[in-house]
Amino acid sequence: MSAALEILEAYLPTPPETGTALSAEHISLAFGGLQALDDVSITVPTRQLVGLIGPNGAGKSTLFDVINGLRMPDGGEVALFGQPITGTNPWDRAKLGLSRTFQSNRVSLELSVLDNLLAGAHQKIPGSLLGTLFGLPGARAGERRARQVARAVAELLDIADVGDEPVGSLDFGRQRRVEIGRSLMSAPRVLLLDEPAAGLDSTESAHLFALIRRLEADLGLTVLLVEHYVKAVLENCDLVYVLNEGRLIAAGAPDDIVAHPEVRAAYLGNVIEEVPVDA
Amino acid sequence: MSSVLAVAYNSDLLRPALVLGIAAAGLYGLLAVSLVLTYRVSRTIGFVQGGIALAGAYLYRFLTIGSEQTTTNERLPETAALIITVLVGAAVGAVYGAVVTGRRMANYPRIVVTMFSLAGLLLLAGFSTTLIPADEGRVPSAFGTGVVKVFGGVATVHQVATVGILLALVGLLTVALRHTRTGVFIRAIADDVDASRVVGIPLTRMGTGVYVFSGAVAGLAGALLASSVGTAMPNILFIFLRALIVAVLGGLTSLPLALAGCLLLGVAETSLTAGVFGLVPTDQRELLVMGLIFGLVFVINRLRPIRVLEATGF
Amino acid sequence: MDLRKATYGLLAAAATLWVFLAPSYWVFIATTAVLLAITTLGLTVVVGWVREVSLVQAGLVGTAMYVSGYLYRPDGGLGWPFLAAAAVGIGVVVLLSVLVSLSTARLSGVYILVLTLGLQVTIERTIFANLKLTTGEGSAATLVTPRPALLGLSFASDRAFYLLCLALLGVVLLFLSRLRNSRFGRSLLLVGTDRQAAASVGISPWRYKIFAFVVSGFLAGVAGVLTAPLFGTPPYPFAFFAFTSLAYLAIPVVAGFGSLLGVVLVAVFYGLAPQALEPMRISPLILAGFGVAVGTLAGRAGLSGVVQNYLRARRPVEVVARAGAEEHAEPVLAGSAR
Repeated sequence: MSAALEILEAYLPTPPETGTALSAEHISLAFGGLQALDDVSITVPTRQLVGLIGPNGAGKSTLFDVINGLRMPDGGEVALFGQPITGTNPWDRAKLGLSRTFQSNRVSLELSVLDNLLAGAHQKIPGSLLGTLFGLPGARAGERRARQVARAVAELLDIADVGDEPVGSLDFGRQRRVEIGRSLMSAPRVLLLDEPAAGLDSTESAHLFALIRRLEADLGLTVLLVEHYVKAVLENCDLVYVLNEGRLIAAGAPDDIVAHPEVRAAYLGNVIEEVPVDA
Repeated sequence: MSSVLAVAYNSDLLRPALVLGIAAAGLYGLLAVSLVLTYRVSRTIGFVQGGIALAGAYLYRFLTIGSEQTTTNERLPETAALIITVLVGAAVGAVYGAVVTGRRMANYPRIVVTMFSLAGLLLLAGFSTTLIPADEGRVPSAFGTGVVKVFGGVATVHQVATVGILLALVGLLTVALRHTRTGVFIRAIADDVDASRVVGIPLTRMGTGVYVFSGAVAGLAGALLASSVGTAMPNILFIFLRALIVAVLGGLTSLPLALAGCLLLGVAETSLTAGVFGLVPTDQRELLVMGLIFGLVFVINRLRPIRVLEATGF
Repeated sequence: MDLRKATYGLLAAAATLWVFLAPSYWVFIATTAVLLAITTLGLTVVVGWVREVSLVQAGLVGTAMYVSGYLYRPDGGLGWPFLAAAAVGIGVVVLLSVLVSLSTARLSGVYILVLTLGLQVTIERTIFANLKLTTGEGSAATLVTPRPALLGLSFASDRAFYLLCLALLGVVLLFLSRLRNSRFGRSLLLVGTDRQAAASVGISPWRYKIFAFVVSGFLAGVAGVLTAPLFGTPPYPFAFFAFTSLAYLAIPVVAGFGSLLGVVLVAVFYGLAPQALEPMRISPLILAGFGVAVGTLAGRAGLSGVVQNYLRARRPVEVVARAGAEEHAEPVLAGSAR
């Protein structure tokens, strides 16, 4: 198992020890007469696991779209390791090390698991078009190396046994992991996970979060995740942001978030524990 | 290559060209109406409407002139033939609409349903050309052969009737879409299919209804085309495709825009053919019109800042 | 894996050898089917892989045919060497593909569909209307494009020309297969699946759409430049009108987008069927329409998907044995808690 982790470690870029990995400052976005995001600022320190929670419609996925480059904000700046990327298109952001998964499984159903994973490694596989067409050794070697990494990722995500099966024949949970694995194959420095545990049962969720913690600790991956499964976020994350109706209402360590009155009022309600609310 | 930017401008040809252009726009407009309506309710390209128009043209010819073997007694009066053609168009629309808005296909990806519509076009064209003997002369119009002077130009009664029908239809649709319950439902479906389903709007019934109406309009267009341009398949297809291009440029959801486009196209084409801007050879004319369309698209592309990257096309 | 290689080998051998036993007429028809296969393989890259509808493929084949034919033939043409004429013919068509894909790359699929259609119609009324290219000017005009001689070999006979086209088809299949199993092919497929997902792993959807159109245009060009000498007297432009572009779509739709060989087999069927069905007088339009209808209802994977599912369902023993072994293996992540 650690062999797989070593392969992945060699594949991923080495992130800096300290500093800010990702920052989104004063992001505002309105569409359809709705203010989806209102002056939202979040900072993700390097090598940390940061959670973003909030009720449905709070704007979490929209914020991801802005950070990822799929939507242009009306105002605000996004920076990756200090480099401004607000005007950069999404695929160039991915080349700079920002990768993102989606709430729904956006996988190629006809392709095998390994092929889907390899699709994420597009920019990491060397080899020119002509080299590919003529089957030159350089292109073939690049392909072999990428397959090795893909198999390692599949092993880490517990989908190695179905590596050659078409993804369309797998259950939702496995498809989810293919989606996540593909993002890992793009060798990110910062990984945005949009509800990674959606559709997974509690055992699978626990395994997934354990893996994410491991990637953060052993490989120095910075992760920002959106989750509905609040308990997992509060248990695993180093830092938590809470969004409600497009505004940031709280930020801090998980313990502080639990106690925050506005958060409880808007969202957690009586789920965690009863604490008298000050006016 | 003779002067594309022809300096000659014959103003006295303008008025008659305008009149003829409007008449041509009438035919484009009818097809555009059926395309916009079906797109609004199903978010797919209605290739099948072209098939219905083609079949309508063939059927109208068959009913009025028939073949060499048809005796005078077997031929139908033009008005009856027109009505039958419209009804057949509606029937084909009903069958197609029921299949495509039914529970099974309603959830298919839009590109798949568009291909299915394409299949409809191919099948209708294939059956029409196989079953009904082709002959490429004009077919008598239901509106007779009279000619009128209109706004400084000359037009046939048939052409005036075509434009009149189009205007009446558009007026009817505008009223219906705004002021009747059915119309409101249809607009709701066009805006948000899922919300409409949740709210309880009968999607299949509404969808099929729109297809029935569109099929009738397409059938009508086919019959009118048979009298205007004959029943040569490439010609009819060409007119349909032009209408499609214009409807798409109008966004496929805005009827006024699509009709404005049809008008522009009709007038531009006729002006160039009639020599308003001097004599422009056929192929250059074609290049001009297509260049205009491509140019428009390019400009739209550049002017619209891409603020959102969509997941899939259509 | 061995089974697949054996199948390919068998098919290649059969495709090569039958020609020595068959009458010339059928060899000619088969060659048109081979060229149809090349054309629709190109179309599969656009329609099947990046999922855009292109309605200009027939127009492109016709353009390459008429342009290269005009440049190449000695009488009623410019008499250029075959390869030079072919290069220009293919180049023109690739350029048109780039133009149309450049202007529509960032727009929704509807625009690509309609603008390729617009280009098709424009080609019909400009290039195809030019008599110098198509049927020749003058009263007794019949233009004859001779079969080329390459590398010292003459391809004048039907059999030799068929083998040339078959060899090219083999090369095209090899290249496309390698493309599909490379990062380029996977990127094309991901762009077709979901542009946002593709962009999020570093793939530019615009660039890859243009790439797909270039490949498709190139293959249309190859088929076109071979069609002129195949027919000798070039076919009337009607054969490359919009309806033909529409009908071409039937082939990748019926075959399914997953299998290149499937596309070839369906193309061969469509190439041969009209002749075989001649006595029944079934219009090719009906055949194509039926094919598209059935193909769309059969699902994204088309007929080859049905075949593949069938083959997959028939290896139960292997799957059960593997599932049994799984139950006893520890889940990989279980012991990794910190």
